[in-house]
Amino acid sequence: MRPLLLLLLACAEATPKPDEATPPAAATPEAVAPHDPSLGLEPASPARILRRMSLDLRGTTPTLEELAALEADPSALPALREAMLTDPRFEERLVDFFGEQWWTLVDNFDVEAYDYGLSGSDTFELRRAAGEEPLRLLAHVGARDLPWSEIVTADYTVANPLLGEVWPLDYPAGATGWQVAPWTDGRPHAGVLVSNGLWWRYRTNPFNQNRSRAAAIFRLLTCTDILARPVAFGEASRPTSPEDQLAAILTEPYCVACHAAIEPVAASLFGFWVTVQYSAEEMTRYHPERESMAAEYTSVSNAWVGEPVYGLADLGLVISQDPRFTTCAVKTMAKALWRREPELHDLPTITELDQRFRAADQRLSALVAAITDTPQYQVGRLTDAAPAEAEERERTVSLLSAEQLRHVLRDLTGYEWTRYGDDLLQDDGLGYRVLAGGLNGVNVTSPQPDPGLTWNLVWLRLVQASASYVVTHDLLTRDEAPRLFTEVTLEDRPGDDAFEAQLEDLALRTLSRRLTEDEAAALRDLWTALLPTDGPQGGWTAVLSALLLDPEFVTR
Amino acid sequence: MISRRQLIHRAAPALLLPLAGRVRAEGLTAERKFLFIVCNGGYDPTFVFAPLYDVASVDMESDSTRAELHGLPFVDHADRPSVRAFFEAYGDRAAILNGLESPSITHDRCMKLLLTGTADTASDDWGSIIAAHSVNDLVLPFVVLSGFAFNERYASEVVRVGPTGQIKKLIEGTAISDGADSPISLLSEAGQAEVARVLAGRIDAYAAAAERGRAERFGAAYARSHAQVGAVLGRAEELGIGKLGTPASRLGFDDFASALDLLESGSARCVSLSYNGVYSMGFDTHSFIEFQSMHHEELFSFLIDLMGEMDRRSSPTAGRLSDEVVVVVYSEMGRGPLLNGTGGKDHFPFTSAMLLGPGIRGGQAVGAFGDAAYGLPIDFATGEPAESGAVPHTRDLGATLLALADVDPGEALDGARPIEALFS
Repeated sequence: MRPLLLLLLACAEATPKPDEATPPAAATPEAVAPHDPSLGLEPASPARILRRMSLDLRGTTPTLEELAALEADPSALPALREAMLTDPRFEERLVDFFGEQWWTLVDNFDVEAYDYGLSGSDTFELRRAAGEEPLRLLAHVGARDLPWSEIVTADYTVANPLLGEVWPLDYPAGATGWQVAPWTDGRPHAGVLVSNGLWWRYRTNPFNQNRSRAAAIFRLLTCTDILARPVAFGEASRPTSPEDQLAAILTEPYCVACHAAIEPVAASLFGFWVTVQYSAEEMTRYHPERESMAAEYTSVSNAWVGEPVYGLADLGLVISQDPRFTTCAVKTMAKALWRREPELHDLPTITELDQRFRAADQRLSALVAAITDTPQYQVGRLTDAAPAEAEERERTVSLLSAEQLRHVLRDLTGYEWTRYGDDLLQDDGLGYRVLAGGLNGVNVTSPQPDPGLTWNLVWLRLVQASASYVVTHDLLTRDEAPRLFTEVTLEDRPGDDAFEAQLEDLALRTLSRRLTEDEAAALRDLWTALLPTDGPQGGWTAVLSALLLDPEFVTR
Repeated sequence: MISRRQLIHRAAPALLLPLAGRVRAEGLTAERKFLFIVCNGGYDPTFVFAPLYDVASVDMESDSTRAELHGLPFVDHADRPSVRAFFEAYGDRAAILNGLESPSITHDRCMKLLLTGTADTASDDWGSIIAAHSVNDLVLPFVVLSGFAFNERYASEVVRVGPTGQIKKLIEGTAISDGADSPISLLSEAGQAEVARVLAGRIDAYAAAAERGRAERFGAAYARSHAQVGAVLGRAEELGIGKLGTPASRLGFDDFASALDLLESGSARCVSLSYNGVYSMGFDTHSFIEFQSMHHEELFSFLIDLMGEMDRRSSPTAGRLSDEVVVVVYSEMGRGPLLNGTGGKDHFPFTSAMLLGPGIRGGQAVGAFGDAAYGLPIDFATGEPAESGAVPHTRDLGATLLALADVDPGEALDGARPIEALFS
């Protein structure tokens, strides 16, 4: 493969100008919203788009073989993408994507490991498992190309062995990992609407009476953020007492505007009502007998925007038939892949994507493929035709998310930053999740858009460790198949064929392009400078560190 | 808003000069600094800031009384001696803003409104905007010790420290080795320095060649943060973060001590922290309204310590630290005027804030609550109720803070006006 690569891969440019290729690299005959020069969005180079897709859909960079295939045939991109969409890692990335917007991966729940008689060392796993449960159901449906409506109609959730042990689930005996598991406590068949993890995250109390949960349903499933609307009261009818306030919800026009939608959905959720706060038993089980309590607390009937519903299963069915449901799936995935909120000017694209999603029987992989064909996804640079506001809006480059950094580093180097088995990039108590640019689902709810000091410190330390780790394993201990250093030994020196081949491989695996001569010379010099103090292994550690810290590596 | 060109100009010198020297006092120009204290959960203004005894439909705490010190009216109670002591000592420096509107009744949304003035998804909080406009190239422009921060354009100004002071371990280099499951032997320091040098060249080339748009913005931010890293490595103590994560109680509330360390060192312009009340129970008292009293008593006892320490410590560029630091005490929402059925008060979109420090005319309460604790329109110039005025909105509070920081509020906020009555 190496000679082929040498022949096929043109030397890319060193800086963010590798995207000068103007033809739309991945546009297919079916491409959504073909590149329109008047928009000023010029696509990135084919290799950069492949890299972007690979990081988005699998969490790692393209392989040498994939790069060579693309270079040999630029029309190979759809086929390469298709393989990514069937890769098991795609499901993991869906968990990441939905985690960014569903905010369930929090560090604190009202139930802790000791409530179930588990040991303290299970605390982190329980928190993450509970937070992942609704996301796993979404990812399960998405990765298997089941109709998206199944997320609100499924008669199961997706659980791991720990949840199978402590929650009322029929987790398959002897199984490992995340598996389909039906609930055994009589809860309705309503997919994520009956998820413990979701309602542990979106709590309620006797005063709120499920309203915040209803608002979450609207935000997550219809992309209607009711809570973003300003609260205002008419001068003539300002409620004073709590009783007045409750009455105003159903009578005061300023309140009714939102609560007419909120109250009937909140009334549907009383099967998750707890009579004892912070009780694990109460919070773990569904309570069918409490569904009728809504009548005691509220004077409204269960409904979805005016359409009466009979329980959560019916609610799920009705939501799945709401036109906003599929549109919201489109907006959610577009936001995940465009790395920004869809805006008004994106409406034609969103509409077309929505039509395609429906035509594809709500299969998520078809939607994802269509989104990666859009100019908003493929943009690599702005032309003079781009309006000034596009400079802030369009992600010609974007910083890799904390999850992408975690995945790609693990894939390339094998290094896992753990303490007592807990991944330090996935929590905040002991770890560094938010400091690495991630979100905690509570007071940090969007990924960090640009590098800052703390992000830089985390990444620097992580790169130092992972580069050292892979060099040690690949070149010193050689206790397993080498991950990155497949061409070289500690005896090879700059100028040797093996050294040069290794340098090129490293650049391709990290930056997805070949180095310029100046860049290669700088890395050779770096290697040589380290030789006296840190030996050849130190030289390679330094070279790999420089590549992993490179601006092109940490962006997509 | 800082222009693209300004941002690049800020980053470019960082590539050429080490930032290290700039953390020393002699390199700094005097400017106002800010300490934001966010009281989590929504405090009840009627426990200290708003003596609404003559206002209809408001449940005031029994046995509390209206008091006034240095011309500043407040709510006094025997269970809160620290409140009285605080206003006795510092009331002449403190101004209270009453009737502040945060038009939502959900915590997250109100917090965003309080800190950014808007519910828009992409917006920056006061701390990051002010830090971004510093006349100094600071190593730690806006340090978030705890709690919320909202960032988009100025995300690279924000320095999070981690709930247990993890940034110190990152700076010291022990984050990887300390208790990790896979001990790693790192490059020699000389080797690390060599990597940093090569990387600086790469970032420099990237930033210089970056085309307009996000690549340009990313390049500038990466260049700046890389220079910041070079400036902080091995210098945690000097930068005022050496004691982060220290469990022993310092200055009553550890985060106050950490904030002062940062401000005193000159490394930060803005520091934000969250105060969660006694036993971190928060101010969200839907029941047991008595906790409001306990939380306020503790808060003001801490504030007494804070102000005393700020009077004692020196600023790198002025006399006392208290002559340079504006302290802002606020909460994301207020609480309903009347007690509910379980002895608490529910969420309410009108609240109060307290400001102390340079540029603030102390000894006054600005703004007012009307019947049932709804905020009244006021004349921003006088602070007095006025039919023709406007109810102060959180964005107006933001405009006030930006003006105090010598930032044109019009750059960041549409239609917001500083509340001039608060200015000295």
